[in-house]
Amino acid sequence: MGVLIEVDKSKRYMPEEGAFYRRLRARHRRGRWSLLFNYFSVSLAALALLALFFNVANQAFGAIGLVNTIEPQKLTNGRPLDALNNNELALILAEHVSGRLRVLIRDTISQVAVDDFTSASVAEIVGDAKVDPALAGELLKNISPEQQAGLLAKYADRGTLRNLVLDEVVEQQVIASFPLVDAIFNFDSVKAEIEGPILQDFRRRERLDDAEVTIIRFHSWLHNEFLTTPMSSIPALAGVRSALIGSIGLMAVAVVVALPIGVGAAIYLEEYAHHGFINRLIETNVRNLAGVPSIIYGMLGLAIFVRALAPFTSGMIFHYNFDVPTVGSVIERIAPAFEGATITIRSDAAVVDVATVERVVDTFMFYGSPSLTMHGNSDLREMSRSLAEALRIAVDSVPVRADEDYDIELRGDYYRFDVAPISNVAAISDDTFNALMANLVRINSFSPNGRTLLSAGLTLVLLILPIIIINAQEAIRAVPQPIREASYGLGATRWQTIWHQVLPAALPGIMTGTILSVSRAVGETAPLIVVGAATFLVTDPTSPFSQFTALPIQIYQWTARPQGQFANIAAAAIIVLLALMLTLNAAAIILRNRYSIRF
Amino acid sequence: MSEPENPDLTLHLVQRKSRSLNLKHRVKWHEVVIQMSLLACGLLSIFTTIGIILVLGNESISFFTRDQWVNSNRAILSDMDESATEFTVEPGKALDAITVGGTIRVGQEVMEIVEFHNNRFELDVLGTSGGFRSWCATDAQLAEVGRARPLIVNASRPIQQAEIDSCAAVGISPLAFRVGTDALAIVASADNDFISGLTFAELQRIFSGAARWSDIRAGFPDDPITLVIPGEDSGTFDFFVNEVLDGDAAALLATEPIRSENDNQLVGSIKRDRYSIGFFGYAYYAKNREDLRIIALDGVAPTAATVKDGSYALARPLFIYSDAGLMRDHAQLKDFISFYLSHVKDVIVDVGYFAASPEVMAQARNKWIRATGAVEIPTIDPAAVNGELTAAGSSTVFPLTERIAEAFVEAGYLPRLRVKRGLRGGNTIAPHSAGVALEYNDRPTIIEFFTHTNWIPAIGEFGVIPLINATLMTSAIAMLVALPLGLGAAIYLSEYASPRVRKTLKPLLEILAGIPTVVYGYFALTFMTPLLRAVFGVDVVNIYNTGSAGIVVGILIIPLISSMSEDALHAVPNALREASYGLGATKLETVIKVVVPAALSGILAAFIVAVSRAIGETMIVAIAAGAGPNFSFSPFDSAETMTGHIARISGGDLSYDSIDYNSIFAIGLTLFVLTFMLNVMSRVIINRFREIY
Repeated sequence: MGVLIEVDKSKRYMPEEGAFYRRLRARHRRGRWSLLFNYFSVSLAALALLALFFNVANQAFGAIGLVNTIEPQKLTNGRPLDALNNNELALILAEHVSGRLRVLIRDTISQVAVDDFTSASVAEIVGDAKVDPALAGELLKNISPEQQAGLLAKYADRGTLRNLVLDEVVEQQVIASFPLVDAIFNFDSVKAEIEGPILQDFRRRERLDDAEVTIIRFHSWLHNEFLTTPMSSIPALAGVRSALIGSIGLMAVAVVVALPIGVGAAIYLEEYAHHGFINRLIETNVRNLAGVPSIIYGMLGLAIFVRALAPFTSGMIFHYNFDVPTVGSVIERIAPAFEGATITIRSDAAVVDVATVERVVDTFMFYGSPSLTMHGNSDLREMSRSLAEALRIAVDSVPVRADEDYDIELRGDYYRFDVAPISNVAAISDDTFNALMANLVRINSFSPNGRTLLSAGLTLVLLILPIIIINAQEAIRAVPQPIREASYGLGATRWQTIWHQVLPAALPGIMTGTILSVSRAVGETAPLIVVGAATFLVTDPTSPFSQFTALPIQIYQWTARPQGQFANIAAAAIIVLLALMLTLNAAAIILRNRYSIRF
Repeated sequence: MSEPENPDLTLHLVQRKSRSLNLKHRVKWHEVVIQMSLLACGLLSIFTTIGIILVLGNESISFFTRDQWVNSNRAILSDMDESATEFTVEPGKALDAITVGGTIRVGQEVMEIVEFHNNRFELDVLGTSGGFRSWCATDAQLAEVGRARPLIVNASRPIQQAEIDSCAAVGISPLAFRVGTDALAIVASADNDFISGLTFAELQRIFSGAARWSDIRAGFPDDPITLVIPGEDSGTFDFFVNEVLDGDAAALLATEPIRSENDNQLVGSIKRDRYSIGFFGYAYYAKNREDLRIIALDGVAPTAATVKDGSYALARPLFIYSDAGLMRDHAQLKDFISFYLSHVKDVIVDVGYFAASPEVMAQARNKWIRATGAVEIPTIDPAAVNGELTAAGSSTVFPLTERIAEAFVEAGYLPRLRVKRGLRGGNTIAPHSAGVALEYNDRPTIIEFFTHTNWIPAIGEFGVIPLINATLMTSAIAMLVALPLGLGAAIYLSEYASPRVRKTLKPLLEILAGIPTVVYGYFALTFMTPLLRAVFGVDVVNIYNTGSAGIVVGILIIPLISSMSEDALHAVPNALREASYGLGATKLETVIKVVVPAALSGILAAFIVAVSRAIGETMIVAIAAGAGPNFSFSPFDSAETMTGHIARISGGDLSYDSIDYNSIFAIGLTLFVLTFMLNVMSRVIINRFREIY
């Protein structure tokens, strides 16, 4: 049965041949152009990725200019530092950093625990009963700086002393940093700029008129110590240890809590409730939750975990011992924040120079001490006065003996802090000292008020739970039905089937999904900010109830600071973070490839 | 398997089997427990959603109901004991913030306002004609100039017929109350030592165009005459023109005299110029006797006697005007006029005018009695009078009315509040002594939250628009970047790329998607911003700007759009493409006209999810877009987004018991609702408009 199609021969359905080919060519041309746009899109995405990596690498490596605060030749009358013997090196220390000798002894040759250091005799400290009998029974703080230097000369080796002199007296500082590209292609102009305007500026600022640039060299901001030192307010000395430990701790909490709950929910959804109302509700809800901005989870965590459940998340209901630190360890913990400035509270009458005050003020800024930020203008003198005022308030609020007095005064370019009541550290109680420290720096690190690793970890659990559930559901769904039927056929109950057949088969998939979501959690910043990650923390978190910081928080903090060198260490921290995530992702891929079961 | 040889064993097995079949009917408690705990895991996600809504909602409610006490710059005027429910506050300008039903705080005690009378007296000087004009203006005219109809008109001349007519048009029948007599004083500066008296004719010459003093009388200095006169709207001017110049002011105005409605300015002008001469109400002369020199007219100087017996030529009556209807509608007006009529005789001489004769005053009181229908003039207790009073008009009568008003206020006509005591708890009721500041509650309202364009928590300004604006700016820029690029990449990957290329490119996009956003923030600040500044100029582009943040957010969501869109494109069956090719379409035509429309619902859903992601993105904008809300449409300005603000505020030393803390939850709720709606919308689009093949 044919259908007749009537064709009107008089009408032309096709254009003339020439016009047809012209149009066809034009159509194909348009196609090629649009393909070009597609290429452009893809390559722009690739380019953005490249630019991002390049930018990070460019900042994390580069050239730096170093300056000696005191030239070694001046210390030694022209002799090379390596030619000096122990006694001469120790004398240099005694001459320039007499106030810090005890700290140096404690850090190098002391044989006693840090907590006992202040109450130990000289003989105990050096661990040598045959030490000069005149000194053996004395407390270290009661002997003269020269005698202390003598101890150093006798018990420390020459290399250590030489390094001490370099670190404490010569005190190299980074005055400028340049990114990798400049360092490679423009080294001459970099050099000229460091030796010219930057050095001039440095001399004026630090009042070191004869400072010279010692060396301009290539520098990797990412180095071994970067991973092993804690936070510092001097970029060149800062590290990410606490942040790294914090991130790993968060990961641990997230996995331990989210994995069982997420897998449980997925099992329920896939194996138990197939078409019920609850099933639909949960599934829709999980998918909606996956689209909620992460900062909202942070706010949920702040209200629930940090505040409402504070007794639980701060460890109070477990009678968790907050490790109330002894005086010695407080100083140990606080001191790095002050960057070895002579205002280490314990020193008797410390003379602090302007640069140190600036550094201390800087530290205070990190802690967000209101009494300082209130006057937080750029005028150093003003800030120092604020600092003095803060110290005065701090000292005022400590119940100390009435006959002891304190004195904070301004002398020319120096600020002299005579903090007499706390000079005798052993004499004041731990409580008093803690009260003082809390007042002084408002750090409050000893009772984190629910702003703990646990709170943040649980917040991240809520954040990644939807992703884990969705992934686990898919993994469980991928287990073929015959496996289950075979199991039932052998008389297994439903739970036995799930536990012995389905879960083992789905495990690689579940693990892969979990690792990927944890890798996302590691990079999350916003919720951690909201639940109150510490912005400046020099102590490592020791338990789920500790204050914490994390890598992304550290990157954010450093990025937000204006000084150039913080951008460098932020880049270095980014490399650490990306490496951590890469490791996790690689683990997920290996897991998927090696253990996944093909049915 | 061979048959079991032992029949007992077989039997045993059968028995066992039957038992194990029965197993099905046994309640398997551990299985139930397991199932329940698994269900609990599933329900946790629902609790999370409920938790988010509860937390955000609860804190937002606290935000909108939290008391924000603001000092009203007013204090209570007299002591209050525990039982007092009515009290007065210091007089002054409007207390707009205090409304009936609102709450106030006195000391630490919170009270609810049951009744509020903002008793105050507003006096305007508009000149007599001006006063009548605004009194008898239509409501529309009044609205145009933004003025309320005065209740009383101060007049230094009787109302004219034209004014009576225009008053009748708005239903006002003017009622004049004579309150005293003024003598128009002709004055010169105290420095003027050549005039002691003038004749009426000389006065006419001076004020009708004479240029020099020597023209007036031989012996006067040959210096120009400076004329200082009240403005044309004043009753004084009208009176002078009528009495002295026979109603013709043209010649006077042609000399361009110094004019002012404010008599104090006139006094100043005359005082400073030795050759000036002017006129105004006697009261102003009386107040400035040292600076001025009064000029006798035809040998008669104005005094109580000469004014009263009519021998001084320029004496004139003073009135206040009101209306019986207005007095009925405004009890306070009736009371005030009665008070005025009873007390004017005590103060008028002190103000500098002359009392009207007792007969005239009695007439005025009779008018009041007739207008109100009362039997006699009552004794008014101003402490019981409530309602605003307004008067406008003559500057001559002004000091008199002002003095009466002061006496009225002094006798107790003050802003008055009736309150419910001890609103919170009830045990906070305490006596308060005079002088305690009155604070009113200025809690942010939802309307203010969504309409105001300032977000300054320090001064209680909570308008979320600048934050939303910045969020929309960055999101729009992000979509401008991500939309074409993401779709282009998706089309390429799905339609053009060979499997091998796809295998390399997809992980690349996944890496892009997996990088933490804080790293993107760093990228925006240290790479994109310097790039923008290099291109557009350092002066144009701020260090922190929404443009840079938006572009990088766009880069962040390219993988999201491309992967979701690619899935959608991939799901289009090949038969469609083949049919298109079969009709002779090129590849581009197939993609644009067949594949993309077929996958449109998926692509649309991808866009919506991407928008939601861009709106919720925090770290990039927190680092690169700037700190500090700013209502700006320029992509080169810094502006803080909703998420950026939450991050910054909560990152600081946040006190839980502060409006700042509550405010971030209000922002968070806005953000949550916004993104949640977008996510639901994308779901609906996928489900409803998906083409199924």
